[in-house]
Amino acid sequence: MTVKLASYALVLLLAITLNFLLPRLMPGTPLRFFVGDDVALLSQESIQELMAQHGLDKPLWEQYLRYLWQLAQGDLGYSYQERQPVLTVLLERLPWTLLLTGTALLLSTTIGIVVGALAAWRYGSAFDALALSLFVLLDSMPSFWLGMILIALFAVQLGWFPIFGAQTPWASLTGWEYLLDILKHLALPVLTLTLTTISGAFLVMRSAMLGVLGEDYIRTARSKGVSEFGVLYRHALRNGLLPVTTVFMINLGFLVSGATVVETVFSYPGLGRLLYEAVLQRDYPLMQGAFLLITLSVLAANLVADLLYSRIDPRVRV
Amino acid sequence: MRVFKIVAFLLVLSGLMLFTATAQAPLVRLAIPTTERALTPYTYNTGFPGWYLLMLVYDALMVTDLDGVPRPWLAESVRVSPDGTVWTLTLRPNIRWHDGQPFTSADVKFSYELYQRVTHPRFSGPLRGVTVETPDARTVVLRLSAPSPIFDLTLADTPIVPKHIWEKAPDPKTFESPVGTGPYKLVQIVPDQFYRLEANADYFAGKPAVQALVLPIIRDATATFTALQAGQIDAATRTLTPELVAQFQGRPDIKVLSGPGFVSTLLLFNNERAPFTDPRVRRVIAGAIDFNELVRTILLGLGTVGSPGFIHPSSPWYNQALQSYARLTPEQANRALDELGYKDTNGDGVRESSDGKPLRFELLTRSGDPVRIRAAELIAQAVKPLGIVFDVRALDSDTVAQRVWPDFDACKGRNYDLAIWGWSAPVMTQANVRGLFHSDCKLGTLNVVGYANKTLDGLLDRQAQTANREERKRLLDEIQKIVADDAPFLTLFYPDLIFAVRPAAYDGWAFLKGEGIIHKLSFVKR
Repeated sequence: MTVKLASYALVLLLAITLNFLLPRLMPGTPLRFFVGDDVALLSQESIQELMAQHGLDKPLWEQYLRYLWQLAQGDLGYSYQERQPVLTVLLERLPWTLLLTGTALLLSTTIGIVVGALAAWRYGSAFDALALSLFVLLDSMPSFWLGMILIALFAVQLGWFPIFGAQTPWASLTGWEYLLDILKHLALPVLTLTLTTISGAFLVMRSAMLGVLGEDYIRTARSKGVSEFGVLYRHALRNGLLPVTTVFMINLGFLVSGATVVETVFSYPGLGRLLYEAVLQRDYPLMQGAFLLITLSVLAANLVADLLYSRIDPRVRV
Repeated sequence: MRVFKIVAFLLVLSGLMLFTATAQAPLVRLAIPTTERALTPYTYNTGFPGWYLLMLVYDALMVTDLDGVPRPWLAESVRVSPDGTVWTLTLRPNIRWHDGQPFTSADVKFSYELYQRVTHPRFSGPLRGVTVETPDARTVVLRLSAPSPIFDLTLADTPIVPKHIWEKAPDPKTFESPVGTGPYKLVQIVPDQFYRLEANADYFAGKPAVQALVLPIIRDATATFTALQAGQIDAATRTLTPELVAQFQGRPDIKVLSGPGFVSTLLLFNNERAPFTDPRVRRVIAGAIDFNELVRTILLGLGTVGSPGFIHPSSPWYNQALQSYARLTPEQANRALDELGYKDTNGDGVRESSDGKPLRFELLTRSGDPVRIRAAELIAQAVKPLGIVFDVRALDSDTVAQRVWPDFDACKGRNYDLAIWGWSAPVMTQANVRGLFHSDCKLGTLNVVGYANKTLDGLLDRQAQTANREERKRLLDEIQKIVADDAPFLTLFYPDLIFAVRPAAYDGWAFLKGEGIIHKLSFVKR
């Protein structure tokens, strides 16, 4: 266990160092972005003053030590593009992202498990073929494209759902109406994200179940007269769930990295788009903070998975 | 009797229409593409639309009218001393901040000194060396270290903040406060989602024409215009691309507003790299390009052909007498290049210079900007028959910037042959010719081509220090003539600014020449 924790700590330090270095290896400076288009109006003196104000005139190692020191104090720094503490910026977006990616992950995993198990059970049937081709087709669709189709159909043609945002900006709603408004805004992005990600859980579940259904103990169960339903859900499904759990845990770790493309198409205020813009704008502190958050959640998900495995599969001992 | 009824009905109807026409629009939803943070002078994000939105909440001492000429605003009169160094302003009486406190000359002094003390990328530079005196609560005296012909633009550009609030700000760069004197009060910010502004009913220039202004952030261009078509927003700060115009013009519920834009698109020559060191070579290339054709095919006619003197024909500083570049037939161009000593000696279809180097160059342009990539391709096609090869390279915009204008510092040199480039509207509004053309990189901060002409330098210095508008105009005429002759870069075109709005929500938009419909005077009628 100590070895395990030490390895986690080492990975964390490595990740922090990389998070610091990678943004600075990209061409360009963040200057253009704390100045905007007005860079053409700047004098050289102002440019130097601005770089100094953000500590960007210092050598790299000094910036790195300062970053570590700040981090040790729990200070993630100030975002250039938002002019707010990085932590505040991240925490503002986090609930929206979790709402979007979390709902989509739950939906796609549940549907994937149920349909995947059924498809394996009825392997080779019309249902299996239909489910397989449908989910592979959906998987191969670019999510921005599917999102736009859904917008065109459900938001523009039918007018059932809004096109952008996470809530109606000009309505001061409260209570149930507010909740309904949030759900309406959530519907299309979640649908897009769910549809394009179902195939992961579905394929893993289907192949795992195919393996399990061929095992001797299933034949034993069948021969001792267990009903088909019982075979499927009491015997096969439980064991078939293991690989899906792995996939689920991996996805869980990446929940906070958001869904950049879907968030952009629907103007959803999530972390994925925030990170994408931080990269475009060379917003070093925000990139570092967002990467750190992702690193931490991936590590945490791994840790949980490690601990959980010994529970659901006694053969694995930590 | 029946006729009477009809007349009466028409009278009532027209009365109703008149009423609705003058009534305040209740709500306009204006989509913006990105966050403007806390929308204070130190936190707004973009030049356009950010600064224009900022100026809905804040005011400056002057405002530019729809022709781009500054006139008094928070000040009711502006007097300039004959030598142009002393500007005396009398402030309008009875103006109040959004929190009810009176606005006085102390706020002006505080704001200007704030920008001098805490560097601001836009407001600090023009105020360098300016001292502020306030003889009384309604008088401001500004002393300049040297006369400036465009100081009135500075007065119209610089927002005034309330002293009683900002003097308590621990760090102005991150301070958040919604209080201004402007036509709109900032009532709500939901980060990354929207801003809500409400009309300032006591605004000194009259009640704003729209009661509530909601600014949802829609990042994606397609989503923006889909939302407009579906009626989920009423206008957008994002401009329409020429391809979209036809689609919108056919709709009864949407109005397309367009006019000249001051953003320029240029072909840069590296003036320090042979053969572009030679103005004759640059002129031959200019003569081979059909500028009208560029506007017709790339902008579908929705733009203005570039002036060889850079200044937009709609600008008050434009030299009317300027001739466009002499068009050369392929024969004339080929003969000119032969005479300059560039010949295709090895018969590969590409000319070589006298030292044997082929005339093959890299033409940089930023990826993700179809207009510029198309311009680059058309230019490459135009010079090909002359035995000159331009290899078009579309690179990430930061990489292009780093090679053309390393660290935004003209003194750091340049590393390119040719590039498609552009300057934003303020460069045109200020007619910042010294920045563009001066050979001293400390003054020619935008001289990214490395152009040097000593005669021109003298004129550039003089126009930057004259206090007299007519004198400056005369000097600028002369400067444009020299630039047109030297062709240090080619001004290809200025794309029109095209906006789409839903007139049912609000139809009072006013087009500010070169800058568009998103500005204070679209909401304040005077």
